[in-house]
Amino acid sequence: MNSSTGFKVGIFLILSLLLIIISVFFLLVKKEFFTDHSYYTLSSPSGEGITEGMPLLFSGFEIGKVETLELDDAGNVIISVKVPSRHTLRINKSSTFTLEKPFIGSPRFVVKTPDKKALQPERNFVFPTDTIDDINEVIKKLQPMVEKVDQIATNVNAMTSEKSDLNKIISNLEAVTKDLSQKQGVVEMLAGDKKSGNDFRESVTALNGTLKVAEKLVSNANDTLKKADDQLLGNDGTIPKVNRIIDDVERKMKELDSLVSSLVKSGGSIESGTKDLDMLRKDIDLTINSVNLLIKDVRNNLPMEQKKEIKLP
Amino acid sequence: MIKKILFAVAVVLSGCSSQPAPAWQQDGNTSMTNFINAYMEGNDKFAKNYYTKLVESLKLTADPDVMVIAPLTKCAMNIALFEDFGCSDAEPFLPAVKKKNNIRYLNFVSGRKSDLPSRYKDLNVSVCSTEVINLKIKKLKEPLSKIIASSMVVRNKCYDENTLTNAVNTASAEGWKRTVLVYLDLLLKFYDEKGLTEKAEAVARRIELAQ
Repeated sequence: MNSSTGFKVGIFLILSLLLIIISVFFLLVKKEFFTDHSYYTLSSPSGEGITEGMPLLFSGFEIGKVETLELDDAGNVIISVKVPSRHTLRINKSSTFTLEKPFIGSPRFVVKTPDKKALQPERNFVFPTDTIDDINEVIKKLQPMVEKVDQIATNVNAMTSEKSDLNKIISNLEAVTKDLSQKQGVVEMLAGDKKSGNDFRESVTALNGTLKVAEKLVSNANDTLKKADDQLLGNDGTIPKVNRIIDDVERKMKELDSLVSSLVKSGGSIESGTKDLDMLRKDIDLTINSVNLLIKDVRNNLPMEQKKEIKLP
Repeated sequence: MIKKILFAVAVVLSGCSSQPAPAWQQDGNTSMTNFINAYMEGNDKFAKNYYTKLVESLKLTADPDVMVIAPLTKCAMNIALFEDFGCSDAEPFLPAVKKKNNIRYLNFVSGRKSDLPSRYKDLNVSVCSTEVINLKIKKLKEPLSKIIASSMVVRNKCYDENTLTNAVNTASAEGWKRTVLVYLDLLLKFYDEKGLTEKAEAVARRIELAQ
């Protein structure tokens, strides 16, 4: 090994050592080894939920940590909080420390400083602490609800018990529906027996039938009156027809009379007599036909004659 | 009161509301009544004429169920007067007749004992009780039906004095002389068989007076 190689090895070792020293230095700086710290003393009636290393937050930023926990003679827990010197400005005598135990997440101390111009605390100054326990708060808030639920459950229990009014109502309702299912309607239930209900229904049915019959009768009576009116007094009614036929018969009787007179007068003339007799025969035929028509019309127009079926004896 | 009168008037008028009967029906009814009366009276000449008119009236309908009524009625009256069963005049209508009642009536006048018309069915009993039979005959409305029913029970040998007396009274009330005499003859035989001489003599006198 010559002198140059030894020199180079020496340089390498020194640089490596320096690198290690610088790294350790930076590590210590980062770990605030060289930073000055202030210690504040807090007092809490209970150390429940407080652990060493617990963060101290100011406006949501971590500015310190719980360093130690001790019990004093009075039984209170004395908590020592370590705060870097650069954050000590944010803590003064007006500061309040609160232990927050969130429903979700780990517990932490929160410091608030309402008066930023207040004096710095003395070395042996002890800050009292408050505790906000979210779980307890939730439980506190839930308690009235639970009580109400309990009351509701008690009421429901009372309502649904065997001797409760609701149960009685349901029993009565059951009896009523059973009654209704066995009986054929409210009428029967009100009357108390089946016969009365049936009688009532039959009466209603009979009354309905009677009303329909009466309605039909009145309608028929109207129709009949109208028909009778038309048949008797209308243009083609019975009375005008009878009048016309009677006039016709009267006229023909007059003609017959004149023919008979003519026959008597012309008794000597056989030829004219034969003619008159022929006319007389025709007139008699006409008269008989008219009378037959009259009888037929009267029969067809008189409303009293009704259809009558021809039956076997 | 006024309401009741109005209701009565309405009821009466409603009876007149139907259409007048057709001419064939009016003529048919008249001929039927005349035919029955003439035949049961014993006026055969008139009965024949009325029967012809009745047949003509019913023929106007061209309905076999209506046309068959005339021969069936004639045959029923023959049976009522104890002539032989059978109805040859009605037989030609049989294939065309639809109404069950007409078929039953044809069974009845033909002397068959099954499927009879409802009004005569009850008289065909296996156990004879003349009281019941007489009551059933009395319940029939038409005089001719009563006479027909009486003849039926006499043929079945299920009758008594009342059966024959009732038939005589019914026929007498209608003025059916031939029928009265037929049943008086039967009554006379009945009294003779029973040995009721006085009653038999009274009946014989009545027959003599009637002839």
